[in-house]
Amino acid sequence: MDKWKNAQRQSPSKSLLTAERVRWFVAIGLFTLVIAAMYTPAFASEKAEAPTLALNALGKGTATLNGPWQFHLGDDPAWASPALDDATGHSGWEQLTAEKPWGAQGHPAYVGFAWYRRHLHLSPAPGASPEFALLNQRIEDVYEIYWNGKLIVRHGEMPPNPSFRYGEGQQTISLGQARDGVLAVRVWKQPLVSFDSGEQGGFTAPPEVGSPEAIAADLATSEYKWLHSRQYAFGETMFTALIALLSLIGWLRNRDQRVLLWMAVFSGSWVTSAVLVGMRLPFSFNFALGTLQPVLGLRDIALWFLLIELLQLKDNQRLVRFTWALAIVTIVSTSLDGLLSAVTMSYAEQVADGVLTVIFTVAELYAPVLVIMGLRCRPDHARVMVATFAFLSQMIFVVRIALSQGSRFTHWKLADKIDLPLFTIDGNSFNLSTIFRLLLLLSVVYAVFRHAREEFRRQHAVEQDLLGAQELQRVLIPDALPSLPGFSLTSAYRPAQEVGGDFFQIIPVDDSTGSTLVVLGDVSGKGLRAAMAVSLIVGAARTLADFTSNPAEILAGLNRRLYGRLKGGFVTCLVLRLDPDGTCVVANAGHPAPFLNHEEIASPGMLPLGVTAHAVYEETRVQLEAGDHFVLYTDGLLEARTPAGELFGFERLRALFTGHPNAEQATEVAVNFGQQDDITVLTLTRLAVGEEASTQLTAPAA
Amino acid sequence: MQATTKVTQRTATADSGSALTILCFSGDISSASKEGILAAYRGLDGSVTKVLLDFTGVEYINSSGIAIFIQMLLESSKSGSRTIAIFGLSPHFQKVFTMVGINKYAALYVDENAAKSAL
Repeated sequence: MDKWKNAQRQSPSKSLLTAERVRWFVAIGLFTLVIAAMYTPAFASEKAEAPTLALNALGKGTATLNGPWQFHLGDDPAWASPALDDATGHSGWEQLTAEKPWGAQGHPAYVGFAWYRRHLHLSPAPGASPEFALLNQRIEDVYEIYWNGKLIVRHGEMPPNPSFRYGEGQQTISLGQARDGVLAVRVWKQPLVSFDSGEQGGFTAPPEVGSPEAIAADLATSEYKWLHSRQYAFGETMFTALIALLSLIGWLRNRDQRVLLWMAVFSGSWVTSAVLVGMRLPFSFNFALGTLQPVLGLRDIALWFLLIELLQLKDNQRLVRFTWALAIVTIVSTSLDGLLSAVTMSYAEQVADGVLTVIFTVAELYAPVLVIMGLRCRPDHARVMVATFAFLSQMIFVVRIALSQGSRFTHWKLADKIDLPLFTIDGNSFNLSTIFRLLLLLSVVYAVFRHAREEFRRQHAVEQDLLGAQELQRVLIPDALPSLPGFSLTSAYRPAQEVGGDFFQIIPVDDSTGSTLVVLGDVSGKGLRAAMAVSLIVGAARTLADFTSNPAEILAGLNRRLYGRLKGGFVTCLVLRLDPDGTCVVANAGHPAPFLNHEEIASPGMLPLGVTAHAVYEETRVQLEAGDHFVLYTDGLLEARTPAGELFGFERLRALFTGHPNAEQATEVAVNFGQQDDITVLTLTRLAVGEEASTQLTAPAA
Repeated sequence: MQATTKVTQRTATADSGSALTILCFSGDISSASKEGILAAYRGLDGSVTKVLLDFTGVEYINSSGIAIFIQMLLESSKSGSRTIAIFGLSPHFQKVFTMVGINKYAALYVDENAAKSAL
């Protein structure tokens, strides 16, 4: 069983000496007065000339009940009686001091009942309060205090169903106007857990007696000192809680950042264990220790996965699966162990506790394995720091606990040495454990800050890229259409994302024929890569147009230019030449066939551009009459898809084009249906003689 | 709807008696499916000479998806030892495949039986 102990306990020898010395002097002073009052007759003040100044300060001291106490193992209600003969040696009574537990005074590992008795004669100092009170330090584990046979206080519940609070257990008890009598203390010690050294049981420090005010002041001083020495620890716990909260929120917003989840669990479990055992909250011992076991198990597990994320070991599938298996073993064994503590410790359960503890203690050796494997890949320094300090702070804890296991058999004191404070700042002690945890917290803050900065830079770079791509797009898709004599022209372009793979160009043939070349196509894929391919095509097409106005030759030239450069992609493309007399020559490379009025212009299926080294394309000739409606489009129109998965398809396309829509109307229909890819539509209407040529371009929304 | 394509493999015998290996696809085919599909094709044993691609379970193929098959067909035509045939395409995609000229490299059949009787 793991226990969170020593970091929280003050080491008395190093605490504020001055106050203790003052208390000593005052105690001695009071004691002397008490003895003097016992053995000398009281004398009235003889000189009546001047009033006596009452020095009440002397009455504010307390006396410590050190020295010998009568002690007996076992349990008998008669031992509370003031009349009992408890002389040393008589029917089993012996003498012990209250300064150490009975386990360190000749009764190692004794559990169960025992009694202490002390004969007292109390006399208040002149002018001081006639009442007395007692202040006791921790008595292990459950106790009752009797004054002259009468029960005056019980701390915890006696067996059956024993329970007691986890923590320091200081308590003040009123003795009323006690003068002479026997203070009897009945103690019950719970069976030992796996890390107990066997030196526990009964008094851990002698109680103090004094006036109620003095006792209350002592308690207040002692509690203040405790709080003061825990200032740093409380601050650290709050900071860790903040990290846990922020990590959890960060993970909830971004579920694939698993590192944040594990950081939240890791820090959260440190906070939970601090709350359970480090803050003197009124939890029962069994509840606190029992709940602590799976919490610590969870912390181990979180550390493993944190290391796996930070040290980039995630790709090692076998390692990840093994870690999950170990995690299950750990959580089961720690939970079982924790549950056991809810039940009173019989011998069988002590054995089970031992076995389970061995299991998860061995599992804790896994973290160093992960660290060694991870550091081989040399991750960046921020991650190394977080991983190192998480690992170190956990390992100090683990080593200390492991060393304290079975210490009643091994008598190893190394665990306590590891816990010794290295230095103290303003009453707060810092040992190895605290220092590594502090370094861990600082490195986490640093790593997160660095990550945020990198994220910001990356986002910025992506945005810059995108702006650049949009600039490029403006060059590739015309934003103004040339006038085609004899035709009215409409075009619309609706990209699927910011940058797409559709393109079209309208290139007047540079001779006296007055013909125009139209190039329209679609690069597979999206994004900047597709846009770069488009710029290559547009440049090549315009160059080729200088040398030939033959669509099949242009396609062949484009294919040669593209072959081998598309990295697995391809380009479908249509090239057509329009003559002023209405003749239209079309060549097609894998592109959806254009529509003339309501019929497709049949062309043989051809592989797209860039796929084979030498391709020969065929030409189809069409004659356009006045009023004929000619439509070119990209497959974004065909492949519009409803959320349910229904495709726009060729039937709907036919129906759409029979209505002779303009480009804007056609693209709008597809976009409303469910846009999946870039959509480009170009319509040409042959005008009657004398009609004014017109153009209409619909550009994508800025 | 970019679910990765599921690829399974089975064998059958053509009416002519020759052994056929059938790769069945289901789901959507897009650029995300590329590795899975090409790995399945390249993973076929060297002795396999007739490969059937079963698209019965495929709902949607985008242009990147078509590019995968063009690449596959080119590889097979370069090696020269393998014949690929396709069946199970919806009428829409049958037309699309014809448009991009895939039918010149791989015969398109309506269903498995039609493919078996022809091979």
